[in-house]
Amino acid sequence: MAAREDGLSVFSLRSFLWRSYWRNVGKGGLWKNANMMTVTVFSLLGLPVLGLLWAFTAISFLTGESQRGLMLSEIFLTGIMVGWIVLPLLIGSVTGRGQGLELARLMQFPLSAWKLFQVGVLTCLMQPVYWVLLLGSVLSLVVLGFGPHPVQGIVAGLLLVLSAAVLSWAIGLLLSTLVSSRRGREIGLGILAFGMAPVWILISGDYSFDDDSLTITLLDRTYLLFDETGRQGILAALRSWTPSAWVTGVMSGSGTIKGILSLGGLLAVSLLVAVLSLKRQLAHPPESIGTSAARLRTMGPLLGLPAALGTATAKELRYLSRTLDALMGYVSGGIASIWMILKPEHGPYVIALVMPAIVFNEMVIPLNNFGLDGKAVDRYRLLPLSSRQVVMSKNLAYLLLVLIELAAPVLVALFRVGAPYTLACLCGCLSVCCLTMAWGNFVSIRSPAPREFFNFDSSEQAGGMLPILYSLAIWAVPGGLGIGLMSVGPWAFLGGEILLLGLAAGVWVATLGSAGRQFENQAESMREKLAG
Amino acid sequence: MSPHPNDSKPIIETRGLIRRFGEKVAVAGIDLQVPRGSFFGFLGPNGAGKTTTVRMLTGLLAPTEGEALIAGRSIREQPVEIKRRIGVVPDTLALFDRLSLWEHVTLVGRIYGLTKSDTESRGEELLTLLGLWEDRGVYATDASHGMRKKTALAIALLHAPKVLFLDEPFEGIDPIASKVLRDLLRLLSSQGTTIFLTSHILEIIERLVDRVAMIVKGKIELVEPLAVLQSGGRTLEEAFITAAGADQTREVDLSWLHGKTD
Repeated sequence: MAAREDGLSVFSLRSFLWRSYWRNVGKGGLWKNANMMTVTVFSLLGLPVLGLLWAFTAISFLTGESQRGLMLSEIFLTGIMVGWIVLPLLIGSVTGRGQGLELARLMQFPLSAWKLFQVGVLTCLMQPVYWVLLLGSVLSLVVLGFGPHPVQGIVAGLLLVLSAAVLSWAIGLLLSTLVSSRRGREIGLGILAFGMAPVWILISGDYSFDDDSLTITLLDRTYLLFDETGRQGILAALRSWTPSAWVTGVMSGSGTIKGILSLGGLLAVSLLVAVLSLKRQLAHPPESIGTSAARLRTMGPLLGLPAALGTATAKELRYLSRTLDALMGYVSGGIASIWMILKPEHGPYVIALVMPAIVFNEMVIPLNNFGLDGKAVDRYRLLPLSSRQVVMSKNLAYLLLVLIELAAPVLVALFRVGAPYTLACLCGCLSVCCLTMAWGNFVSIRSPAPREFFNFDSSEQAGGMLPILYSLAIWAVPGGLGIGLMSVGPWAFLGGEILLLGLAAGVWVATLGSAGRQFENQAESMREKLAG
Repeated sequence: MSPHPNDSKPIIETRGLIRRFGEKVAVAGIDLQVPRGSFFGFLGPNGAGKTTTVRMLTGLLAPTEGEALIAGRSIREQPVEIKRRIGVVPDTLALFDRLSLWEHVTLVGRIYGLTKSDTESRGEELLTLLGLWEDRGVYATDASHGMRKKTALAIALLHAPKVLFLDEPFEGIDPIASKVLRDLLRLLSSQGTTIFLTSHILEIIERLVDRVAMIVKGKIELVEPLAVLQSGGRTLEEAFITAAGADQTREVDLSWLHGKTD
């Protein structure tokens, strides 16, 4: 009997999606799952704020203060929209990898891009983070029902929520499509370079805040960004182009047609982009890194390392430089350098913000040293390298990558900010790197998680919440020391940070041997975990 | 009953099929015709472009240029229609780690629109034949490579496809499973299913296929009926080595291999 040809309701696959998703979540421990962590953190921090905002909005509408209610609902809706876009990207659920029935594997079956898109949506609905978002969205629609034009408001709110949900997919898939091929990355960098022009303009402007008005002066001309009423100025004009402002426009009755049409248009465009991106991505899987032959030049002579260790470090550096995190590090370093060239007076703040940001962004590497190796983790045990050298090669590659990313802002800051302050910040960052490596070497061996190159994927850290909290706590050491010593003077700041770096480096070196032994003992279980 | 008007047309046809990955050309414009009902062996050395070709023919990878028709349908225009008519055992097997072997059967039955009873009866028959029935509750991630391969085959056959694509199906399975698989493929072929098979195991290819194509560096070097290829006492291995150019391998000394390390 030939198979029945159509009429498959994707909804009928829900039980398979549900089982597969929850078994996946449970395999490494429920609370080690990125989705669960995001829900927990968001529920603890975000939901109380949204709840309060919701209550104030409802009270404002019910007590007849419509203007305040409209303003608050605009903020509330913006929060919901940002949540829809950011949270799914944070947990990497967009391409469905590791979240249930992987879309790439469903490709072998007769399912159109539209049906695969529906499967993806259904998979998302299985995930607690989306339950929180749905709850917030329903609450936002309820509060719109208290406003001046409740029916129109709810319709507009519904369009906004749907647009935000689809937009989160469209953005994730578009980013994923862009970074998964060489041509896409070139286009992305082109867009980024083009986008630097307005950043350049904004950085080079002089801002002033007088009489509750914010202005910017560019090329001897002053522009109003917003006034005390919040209705005049460039930012106010831009605000009227935001989807949440369209909803409040519909609610107030001042822009019903414009609002509904704009929201409908946004939904249609988002849907189109999401489905086309999904179709493109599934038929054009991510290209392997480096189509040309790998040339691992021995770094031994350069760094004074033994040849085998130098080559292993070079291999790891080559891997790390092909991740999204590295790309973000280069971009952050580039923007910071431009900023300090244009605004030397901002230098101390820029360097104090950007250097830790770059280090923090790369902390996923020492927390998951073997994530990019996959099944090849076995290969390390076949090479003439001691286990200590294997771990050390990973650490050295990470340190080199951080130094490469920091090179441009540090060089600029040396001239614009001054050597003592810059070098003190650099030493602080490097001590954080050393302490993270000392801890991360153990975490990354105990619970490694597979990672992918340039594929838009959550940068999985190993071990769950604890290492993240630890990593955040590490910053308190050089940060607190820096704040304390800066009041004494820049040289005291530098001296203190050099001492701390010496101590942190000592801790790292002292733990290397033990981490190596742990690697030797747990290599088999690592291979299984990395094989997925 | 008169033959179907399309019966004389090849069931698989490619025209100038090209696939590039960046600057690397994996498949360099192949023209191929596979007759309906044939058992077609697709051979080539490692990295020749076999898997890329299969992935393009099965809609898993978009061609860079060229066209492929399966049962008269364009892989570019009607990939879903084609997937309804083919069964695939891809090189990666593409199973869902956290579904049991039986859940794979029921999922796929539902996707292809089979009734519950059809799915269950066919699934039971296939899993029993392949020796998986007792282990049907095992998750794919916990199953051995051989069990995963047999599961991939079972779900590829569930909807009785017209064309079956098998990418290295004999790799990593034991001799008993290999015999079961060979017998099953012979049965399917005798019932009119077109089989497109890639394998490195030439002894098996020789025992199964009726037509052979060889791809070398992304180009088709040879397409012949097996009988023609073997005429004059030539073996498939000899034909393979000649087509792959491996008989012209540079002579090397390797005397250093005789030295002993400490």
